[in-house]
This record gives sequence, structure tokens and C-alpha cells, in this order.
Amino acid sequence: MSLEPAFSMPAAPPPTAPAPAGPPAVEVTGVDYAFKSNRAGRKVLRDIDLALAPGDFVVLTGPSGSGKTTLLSLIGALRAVQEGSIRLDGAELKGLGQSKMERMRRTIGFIFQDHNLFESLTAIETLRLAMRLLPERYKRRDFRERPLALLEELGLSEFADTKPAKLSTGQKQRIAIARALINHPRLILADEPTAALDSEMGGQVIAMLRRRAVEEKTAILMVTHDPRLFRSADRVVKMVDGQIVSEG
Amino acid sequence: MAIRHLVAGLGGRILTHNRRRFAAAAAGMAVAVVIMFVEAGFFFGVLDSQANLATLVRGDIVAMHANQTNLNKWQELDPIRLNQIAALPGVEVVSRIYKGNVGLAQQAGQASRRIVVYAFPPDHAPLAIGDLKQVATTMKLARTVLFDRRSRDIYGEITPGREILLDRQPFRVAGEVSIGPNVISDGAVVMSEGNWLALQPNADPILGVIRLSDGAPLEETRRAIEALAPGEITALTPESLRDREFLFTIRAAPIGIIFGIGLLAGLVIGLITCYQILYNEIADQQAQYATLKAMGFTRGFLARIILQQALLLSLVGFALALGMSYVAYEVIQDLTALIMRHTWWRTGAIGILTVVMSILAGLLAMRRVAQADPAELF
Ligand SMILES: Nc1ncnc2c1ncn2[C@@H]1O[C@H](COP(=O)(O)OP(=O)(O)OP(=O)(O)O)[C@@H](O)[C@H]1O
Ligand SMILES: [Mg+2]
Repeated sequence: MSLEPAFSMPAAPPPTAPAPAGPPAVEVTGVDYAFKSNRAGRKVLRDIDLALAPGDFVVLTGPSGSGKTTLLSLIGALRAVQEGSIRLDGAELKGLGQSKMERMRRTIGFIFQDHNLFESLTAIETLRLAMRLLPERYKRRDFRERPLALLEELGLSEFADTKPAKLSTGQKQRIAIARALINHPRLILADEPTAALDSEMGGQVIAMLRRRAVEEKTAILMVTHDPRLFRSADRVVKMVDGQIVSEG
Repeated sequence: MAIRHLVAGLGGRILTHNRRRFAAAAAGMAVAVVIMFVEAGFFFGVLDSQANLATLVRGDIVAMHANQTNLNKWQELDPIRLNQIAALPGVEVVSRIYKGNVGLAQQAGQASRRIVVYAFPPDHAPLAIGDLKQVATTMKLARTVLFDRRSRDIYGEITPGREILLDRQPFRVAGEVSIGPNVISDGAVVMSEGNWLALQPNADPILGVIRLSDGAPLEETRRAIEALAPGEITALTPESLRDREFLFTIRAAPIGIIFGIGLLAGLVIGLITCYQILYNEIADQQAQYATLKAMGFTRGFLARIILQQALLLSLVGFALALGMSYVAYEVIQDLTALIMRHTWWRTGAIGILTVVMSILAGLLAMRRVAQADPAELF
């Protein structure tokens, strides 16, 4: 088996000077988590510590059932923190109510395994809908120009007015990724985002995420089983049985 | 602007995406709303038909015996009272209206059918039942009647020029009028007071239709009429006579309950249909709604999308149903001879019920959206 990756992967940039001042994009300390439905109270996360500086591209890996997705959903303010602390740009998630969690989520870009696009909306409409989350940020003409620019960046210009039914799985997934990027989130959370893509397409997507991290100081936390993607990360964090076992 | 349209219309986009499915959904809603229209149409059709005479009156006040609690009760009035009324200040004309019930047969030896007779002095024209002059001139001939062309079909072919028998006496049909039957009577003929008294020499009028001279005080005169013989005469304006008739009909027969239940059935069917449509649509796109939640869209935003769909569905369904109800009313009127008609406020009330129903269905369907858990998306 070749040791070379099947597609060229941008390597992580050389280590830079000490992290800049200011709060980390993500700061997880002493997090435990048990699903309420588990009678025995088995903890699926135990004493998790993890920090991402702005611009960090971190890959989270580990065997199935080790708790990667659960950790992602806690950081994404999709589940309430039980034990320990999670801060995003210094703001504590623990103890937040429903609507504050919603507001927190608006500054996070989520990339799920499935694209979950509305069949009734064209690509550009999907992106405009996402922009509605932060209406105060945009001028009227942004709603026209921004989605087009982003679609171009993702090689999807020709599909701006196309509905999902006429797109391939990979194209749909890239539109879902565009939806996660359109509001320039400070943090991107992705769970196996390339699972539905062929390796070339996957490589392009990762390259684009990488570029976001570098150019816009977006912190990226991506779950993947694919070792070929490790190279492009600043760090690879490995979880086993609810604990972080190695980082580097 | 386009953006606001897109998002204002997001619910609409989602709902109408699958055209065929949307058409089926709208048709389903329309059926429920048509049921409401038909039930309400029957209800008001019975009320309108029972109170029909009150709406035909050409006068300011109607006087009748105090015992005559409704227009389908037969209680004759002492003609002296009508003369007394005529003598009151402000009263210009008092027209006597007689009402009777005779057997109508096409020819001797044939079975007869009961029919209502209205009689009055020809020149007074106390009822708006056709061209006044023509009605007056044709009525004046001896042994003639005018046939109500809206009578039910049971009397056979009765057209102007024909000879018929009323209580075995020959009469000629000299023309037609338009009155309309109700639940109790199947049809009517109209004749002059003279012709009626020739047939029923002892008949007394049952109504006095009173016209006031210009500027005469209505309420004061009405009270003066009742004061002529307290406890014996009731005097009402045609409008309050109609309202009294509505109330009487509602109290006398369980039509409110019967058609109310029918209306409710339409409402419930509509509610369930609307809920089903929204529920299925949401269930099909559970992950999409969950994604909107994950992205940080508020519950209110999602509620708006669902309510937009509910509203659109109800409006399209209502519009279809309104069109269908015109056809349905026509058919029912032909079959039953009941007065089936749309009025602004009846149509409006059904429209409001439809919208309320759809909003309720939307709120119920929201529970399905509430179940969409964004934490399960990863
Ligand atoms: N909704 C849930 N209710 C109860 N237990 C759950 C739920 N989701 C996950 N778990 C359990 O929590 C543990 C961690 O699951 P998690 O999905 O975080 O693992 P993962 O590392 O993402 O696995 P995979 O690589 O297969 O996606 C597993 O033991 C799983 O069975
Ligand atoms: Mg997982």
C-alpha cells in the first residue's frame, strides 16, 4: 500500500509564533457527559480538556462509539453541558437557556454528514436563508453578491439557481458546506463532511476549509476516520472510550 | 424586497414545491370548506325561507294578531282593528293580506295538492312579488290567480293561461309571481281580495301592511298601533319581523343543532386534513427543520414557516370551495326550493373559520417540528 495520499493534500503551515492574546475560540475543561436515557448513568465523555485557538484546524478521531459526535454536539451548543465548562470565544455555554443557545449557534458553521437541503430551494436561496440568521450584518446587495461569490469559490456557480433534485450527492454536500460558511462563522464543526464525496472532491473541500482557517482565523473541529486527512490538520486529537488519549 | 419575499414566502415555497401534492392538498381542504358552506347554506336557507314573507313586505310596519307568534301560524285579525289603525295620525295606507290553504287540482277528478293562497287588494301591492302594475292588472280579473313560479314541482305543469281547480272551483292562471316555498308550504297562488272573499266569504285578514306618510315617526306610530288593543295586536317593522322569525325558527326546530353539527364536522374534517398535510410535509423534511434549528433559527421563525403554509393552504382551499359552493347552492336550490344565497358576512364568517382552523392545525403541527432534535443531526 502506498504511503502517499491518493490526492494531494495541503500540508499544515509551519508552526507559528505563540498563540495571540485573547480568549481561545473553543475551551473545553473537565467535561463529563452521560445520556439521560442511560439508566446506569454511564459516562460517554469523561474529563475532556480541549482548546482551539482562532484559526486552529483540529481533527478529532477515534473508534466508533468513543464520544466524538457527542463532544461536537456539546461544543455546538446543541446539547446542554452537564459537568465542566465549555467556552466559545470566552463565553460560557454551561447553564444557557434555549434562546441563548440558539444565538450562540448562529456564529457556528455546522457541516453534517447529510446535506439536509430543502428540496424546494435553489442553491442561492439556501444561502440567502442562512444569511437571514444575521440580518444586521448585511446590506441588501450582500444577499445578491455574497452567495454568488461563495458558490464560485466552491466551483458551484453554474448551479446557483438549481434545486437539489438536479444535483449530485457531492454537489449537494458542497452547497451544505457553503451554507455553513456563508456567515463567516468563528467556528466550524464538521462530522465526517467528506464521507459522501469522492477523494478528489473531498480533498478540495478540505483545502477550502484549510484556507478559511488560515485566512479568516476560523477555528475548525472536524471528526474523521480518514487518516489521509490528518496531514492537513494542525493537530489530531484521538478519543477512546469517552476520553482524549492523545493529542498531537 | 425580493429577499423579504423569498423568506416571507419560504413556507409557500416549501408547500408548493410538489405541485401535484399541493393540488391534492388544496382540493382536500376545499372539500371540507364546501361542507361548511353547504351546512351553513342549509341553515340560513331554512331561516331565510321561513322568514321570506317578511322580506317581501312593502311597507313600514306589519300588524298582526298578538297570538301569531310566527308567520306560519294562522291567526286572523279583526278587520275593525285595521280600520282603527288606518285612522291613526301618520298612517297613509293599511293593506289587508289574507292567507289561506286550498286544494289545487289540474282537472276535476284528479287528486288535489295543498297550496297556500295569499290575497290582498290588487292596487295596494303590499308584497314585492313581481312587476307591481302587471300583478295588479292581472289580479283584478274575476276568477284569476297568479301562480308562484318558485313552487315545488308537485303541482305539475302550471303556466299562464291554464285552467285549474282551487277547492273544486275553476280559476284561470293569469300570470306568475315569485315568492318561494319553505319547510312548511310547497307553493303559493296569489289572488285579489275580492276573489278570495268569493271563495271564503268569512275570511279575515292575517296581516296588515302599513305604509306611513312622509315624516311620520315610525316607533311612535308602531307603539300607538299596539296601544289600540293591548295584548291583541303586535306591530313590527319588516326587519324586526324577519329577525323574530329567525329566532322563532331556531327555537322551534333543532336546525341550529343539526346544521351546527354539520358545520362543525366540516370544520373538524378541515382541521384534520390541514393537520395531516402539514404533519406529513414536516415529517418528510424533519432533518431540514432540525438543521434550521441547529443553525440557530428561533422557534418563532419555524412557527412562521408552518403558519405560512397553513394560511396558504386555507386560502387556496377556501377560494376553491367558494367557487364550488356557488354550484352546490344552485343545485340545492333547484332540488329543495330553499333560498340558498351567499352574503358577505356569511362568506366572511366561513372564511374566518377556515383561517382559524388552519392556524389551529398549524399550531398542532408545530409539535412535530418541536420533535426535530438538532442534536441528532451529527
Ligand atoms: N442519543 C443518544 N442516547 C443515548 N446514548 C447515545 C446517544 N447518542 C450516542 N450515544 C452513546 O454515546 C456513546 C458515544 O456516541 P457518539 O455518537 O458520540 O460516538 P462517535 O465517536 O461519534 O461514534 P461514530 O464514530 O460511530 O460516529 C456511544 O456509546 C453511543 O451509544
Ligand atoms: Mg459520530
